[in-house]
Amino acid sequence: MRQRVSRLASSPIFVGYLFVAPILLLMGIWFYYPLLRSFLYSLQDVSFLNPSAAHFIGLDNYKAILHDPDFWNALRNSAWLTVIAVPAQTLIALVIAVGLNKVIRLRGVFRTLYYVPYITSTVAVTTVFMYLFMQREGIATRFFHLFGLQDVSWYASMTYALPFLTILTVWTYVGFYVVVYLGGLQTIPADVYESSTVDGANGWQQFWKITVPMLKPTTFLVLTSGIIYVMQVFDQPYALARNGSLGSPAGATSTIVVYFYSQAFSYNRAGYGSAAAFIIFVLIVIATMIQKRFTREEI
Amino acid sequence: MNNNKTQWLRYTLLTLCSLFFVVPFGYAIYTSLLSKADIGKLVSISRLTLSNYSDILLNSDIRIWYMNSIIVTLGILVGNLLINTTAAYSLARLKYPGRGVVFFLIVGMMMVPYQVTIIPIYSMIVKLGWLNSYEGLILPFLFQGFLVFLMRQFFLSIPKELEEAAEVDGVTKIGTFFRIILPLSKGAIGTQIIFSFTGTWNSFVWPVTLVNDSRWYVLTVGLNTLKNRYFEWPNLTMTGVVLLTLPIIIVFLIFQRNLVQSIATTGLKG
Repeated sequence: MRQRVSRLASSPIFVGYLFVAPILLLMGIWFYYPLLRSFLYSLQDVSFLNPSAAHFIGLDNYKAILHDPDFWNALRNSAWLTVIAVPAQTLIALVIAVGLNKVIRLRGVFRTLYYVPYITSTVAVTTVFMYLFMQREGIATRFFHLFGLQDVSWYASMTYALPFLTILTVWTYVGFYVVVYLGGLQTIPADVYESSTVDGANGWQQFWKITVPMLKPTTFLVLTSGIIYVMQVFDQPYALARNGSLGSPAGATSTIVVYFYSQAFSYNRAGYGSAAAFIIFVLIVIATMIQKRFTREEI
Repeated sequence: MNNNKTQWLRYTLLTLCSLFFVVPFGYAIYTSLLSKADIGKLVSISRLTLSNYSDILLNSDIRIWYMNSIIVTLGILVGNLLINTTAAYSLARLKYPGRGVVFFLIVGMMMVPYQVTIIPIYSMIVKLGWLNSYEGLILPFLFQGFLVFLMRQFFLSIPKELEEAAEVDGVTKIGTFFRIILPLSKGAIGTQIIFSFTGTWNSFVWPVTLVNDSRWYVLTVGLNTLKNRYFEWPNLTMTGVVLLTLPIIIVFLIFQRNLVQSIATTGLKG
């Protein structure tokens, strides 16, 4: 008996299956089955309130979404957020990481300071920023007012709510990408810089001719994951809407995920919501592929 | 000389940048220490008070939310450590038919946004009667594709000779995993702890969907309602913010040592 146990415990096949059995079981129940279910839902007219009345309607949910002005508004907001926030956070993170890579003392302290926003709850961060960007009292509102911006509560203003969301996003993610870039910088061998110094290159030339090109794979990761994260923005608009409807004020902060969530869980439209989810999925896949194409061509 | 100057410039710039990140935290901590009369004012240290903390801890449900958050986070953490780590070792080092398919199934999950599964999972939870329960908040989240991937990358970097030597000595595969591989993996496991802990602790969309009874709120959901209810009292909401954030920062400071290395080797959180 004992020998048999030991023989089993030595068999890579037995132990291999034993070690993946739990995840296979859980994945089946909590991922692949729901995935299939969701796809079927997306082809059905089905509500959470009365699931037994579900019936297949082909691609009607998808068609209805593509004709819904709220969807296009949400998509525009998400695109705006992506186009502004992703390049901004990438650039800021790169500059900070390069600076940080050249200092030795306090490096860990700085790194921690930059990273902590990323691990702070989005609800907590949104709450703090709402006070910072409040009319009259907010420090940030007063600061920007000095430069001619209006003295309003940013999160409640049709004009300023989306920029508010953008600042919130960049603030949250910069530190994470600083750490990613620091990892990338470690892969550049020091003698590349040394020999270029011998050849008379200055710091500025080194940055453009060595650092930026050699960090290209890292930049690709930072941009791709940046796009995926930003397209997923949800908690912040949820929190800043307070007790109002999602996407407040009047859809100004409605992202594609906010659109999805309110269809599914505010209006109980399980089928319609599932179709919206698959559209988001496709958008993310497309964004990743475009990104891949561009980076590959440039190399 | 010139070198000294640029170095000094670097420190100045880095400090200025860090202000951008520190000010909101400073604001939150400072405001949480103000009495009602002092809200919005700059006051001397002697006027600061901890009364908001006792107020919130004694007069709101935050203690229950704290407990819920701790139970859910630890439950998921234990599940993650066991399930992801064994799966990752299996994929990295044990050969068996179908391994490629299993790897594909696990990595495939990383591509799919949660929106695609949350609706059916919500229906399942309702059907199982698990709305407002620890089961509903824990069981769907015991595994994570990204963390399996992270651990697998780490195991692949361990020299094979160690395991071969163990095999010659007659140690079983299971023994090798627990007695030789795991002790070498403290750094990677530390990283997994950070990702799992912060991910669950800060998670908002799942608990807000799977719970509608305030006794089952976790801290993030609780803070959100607290903020909506006491928005006029920044000293109280900021106290909630500090209470929510503190545990994360502590866990991060304890386990952060290998984080940069892990992020560098695996690429990214997906």
